[in-house]
Amino acid sequence: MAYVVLVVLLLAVVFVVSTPLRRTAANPGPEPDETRSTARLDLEAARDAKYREIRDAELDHQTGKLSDADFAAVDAGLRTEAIEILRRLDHSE
Amino acid sequence: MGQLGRAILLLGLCVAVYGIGASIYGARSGRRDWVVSGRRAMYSLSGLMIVAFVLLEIAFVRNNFAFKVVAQSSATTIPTFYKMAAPWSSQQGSLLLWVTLLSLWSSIVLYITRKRMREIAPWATATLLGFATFFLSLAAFAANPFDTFSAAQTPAQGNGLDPLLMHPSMIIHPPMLYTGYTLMAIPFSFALGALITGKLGSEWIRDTRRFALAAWLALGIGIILGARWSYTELGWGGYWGWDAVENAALMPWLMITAFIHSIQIQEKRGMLKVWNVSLVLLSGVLTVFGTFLVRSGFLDSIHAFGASTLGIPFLGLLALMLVGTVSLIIYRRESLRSDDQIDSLLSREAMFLFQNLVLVALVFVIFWITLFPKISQLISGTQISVGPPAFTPFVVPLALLLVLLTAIGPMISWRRATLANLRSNFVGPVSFGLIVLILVLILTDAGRKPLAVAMFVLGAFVIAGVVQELYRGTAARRAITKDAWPAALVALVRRNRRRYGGYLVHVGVAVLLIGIAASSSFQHSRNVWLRPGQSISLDGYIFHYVRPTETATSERISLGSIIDVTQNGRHVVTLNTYRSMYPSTNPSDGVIGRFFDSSNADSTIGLDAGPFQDIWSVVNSSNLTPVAKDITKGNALFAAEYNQILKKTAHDSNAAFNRVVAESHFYEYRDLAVNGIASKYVQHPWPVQFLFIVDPLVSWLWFGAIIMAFGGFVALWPMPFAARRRELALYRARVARDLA
Repeated sequence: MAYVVLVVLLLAVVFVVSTPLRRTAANPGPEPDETRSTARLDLEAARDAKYREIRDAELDHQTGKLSDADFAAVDAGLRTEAIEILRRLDHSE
Repeated sequence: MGQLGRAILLLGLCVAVYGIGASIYGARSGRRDWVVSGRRAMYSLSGLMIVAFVLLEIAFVRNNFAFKVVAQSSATTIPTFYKMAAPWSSQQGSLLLWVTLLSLWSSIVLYITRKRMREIAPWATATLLGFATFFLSLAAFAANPFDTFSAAQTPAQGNGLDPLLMHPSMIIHPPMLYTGYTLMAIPFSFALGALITGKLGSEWIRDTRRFALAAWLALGIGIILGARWSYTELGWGGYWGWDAVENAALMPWLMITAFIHSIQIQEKRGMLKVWNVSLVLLSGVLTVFGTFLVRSGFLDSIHAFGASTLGIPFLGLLALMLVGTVSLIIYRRESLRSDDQIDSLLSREAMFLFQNLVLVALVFVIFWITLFPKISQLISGTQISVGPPAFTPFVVPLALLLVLLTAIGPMISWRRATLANLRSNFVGPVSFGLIVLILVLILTDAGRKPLAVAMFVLGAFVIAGVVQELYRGTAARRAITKDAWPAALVALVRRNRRRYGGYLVHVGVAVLLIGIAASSSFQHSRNVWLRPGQSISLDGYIFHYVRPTETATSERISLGSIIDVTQNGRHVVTLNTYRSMYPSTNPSDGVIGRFFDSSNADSTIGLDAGPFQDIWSVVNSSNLTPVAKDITKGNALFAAEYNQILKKTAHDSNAAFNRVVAESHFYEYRDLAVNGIASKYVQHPWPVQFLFIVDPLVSWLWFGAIIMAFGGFVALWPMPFAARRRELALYRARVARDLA
């Protein structure tokens, strides 16, 4: 019984691990989602972080940690930075 | 089953080594199929390890003493749920649990990131599989959980589990610590991948931040469960002894705390890249260092059950990790330059930075004092032992500074704060802190402990600050949505889980530290010998030893006491405390003596826990001198009787049957004798030693920990995908308008 279980596990492991290699052998060529480059993914992460920063500044303003004047300056700065990231994202397409 | 287990470990080892090779080859050649194959090796490894762990659990539950580890750490008399927890009381089972959890968490993170971090992920996979290979090699070749006895050598009964480990906390405490340690390997591996590939942007932080937080939460829960175990099981009345193994879990926890704060600065401002990478890598090194301390027996510790000779391989791994990470940081120092600078010292990022420095200083102090006995031995040849007093002068001021920064951080804005904003944000919380100071000084005599009072005031400052934040945030939300207060509060927290989850953690930290300050500064304790009928007074309470108690079963003999506690003639509580002795398996203890093995014992405390103070008691009834003669006499008598049985039945035609009958009578009389000796504790009671403690605000510690865990879950729980998209769309639209 133990040997049967071991053989089953061995076959399952070989199947799971070798599937991508067999698939490539059958259909050579890049994967469809290969096109999204690391630089782009990094920019997307930076964009999301910037949106969060804008939201945090808004919350800081609402809870009195930023005065109206300070918030206007910080928010404008953040949005400029966000626009720069969006522009770089556009160029990376 | 043993053979199958051993074969699975070897198969797992082969899969891990293959996965490392496939991932590195895939990363270097750009072949995605090999990268995916390497990732799938991790999935396969986690499947194999789960099967192996289930096999081990089955062996424990079925009392399969052919397994050496089951015979060493279990017995038929142990309740099933403790049998299921017994694997991680052993070296072998712990190593298997480590690999199982590591492969499981790694599989989850590799699955989540399968379409992201294309360049970093293969190196992270190889690193994670490298850890798995190390621990699997130890499990397969140095401490194999599937080693078995031959049929002839298989014992009929196991040695049993250490009585101290038969505690509900011990079912969860070690797996939680291992979960924390293994989860920490994930950000470590991705940071290493980012350093190797030079992709040091925000992406690796975004995708692994949650795992660092999960590691922080699991490690924190594990630490607090260990403290609870110490308080209720070890019989010394404390919850933290600055033991080497306790510190080994605390240091990475503090380091991760620093990391999950400072990565926010990198995410928002692109700053502190070297610092963040160093923190996460050090956290990883410290988790392996923690495992090394637990598993190696390198330092003296109450966790002696974990001692072994695995120190050298662990030291090798630690050296490799340190040299590798430091070299990579130096190699990538140009890419790790900050994109920005701190605008003002009056900003949240500056507070985070100060807080980080304090946390790292705490880790350094704890590390240095923990290792001081070994360092002193290396320098002078004499091992100088250190205890809690060595830590206090350094840890207390740093903890106070930390709480101060915890209070200030949430009330100050990112980038810069003006004095007018500071005034409007600080007036309320500072006033509340001052009110607490005045009340404490007027209503109590706490003024004699200024550091404790400082902690109360700073704790109140933290709590008031968070309450103010919640109030203002909820009010701002209500102004927009017109929701009712509770609905607006819930919506506020749900939309900003990370921020408000963190604030809740701050409240938990404040409550916990207030509890620690009060209970360690204003504790009253007495260690006394009492006879039934005698009393002592302590902090206004009278502790009266009413009567002794005795329970004898085949599993244990418990000798205890009923204590009546009164205050000003008014009954407060009745406490029941006892010490249980478990039968030893050492034949030299004698037929009767093995039931009175005071070294194989645990204490059950008598505890009255309340919101303002705990009344704690323990009896040490293991002084068996008054019945020592009876035990010796019983040993001799029963040994002689057993020899007679062997002689009489040796030449019988029906030897086996007669011996079973004679032995059953023998064991019946033995049990009567054991009960008779044990009952003398009640019939002719002798003085026993008690430790009584009246300790204020201990419950605040546990309550604070619960708040921290809740806050951690709130911060960790992901915002629903649809809500996240709505949230991002809102700001996207706003920025898009500017762009247009």
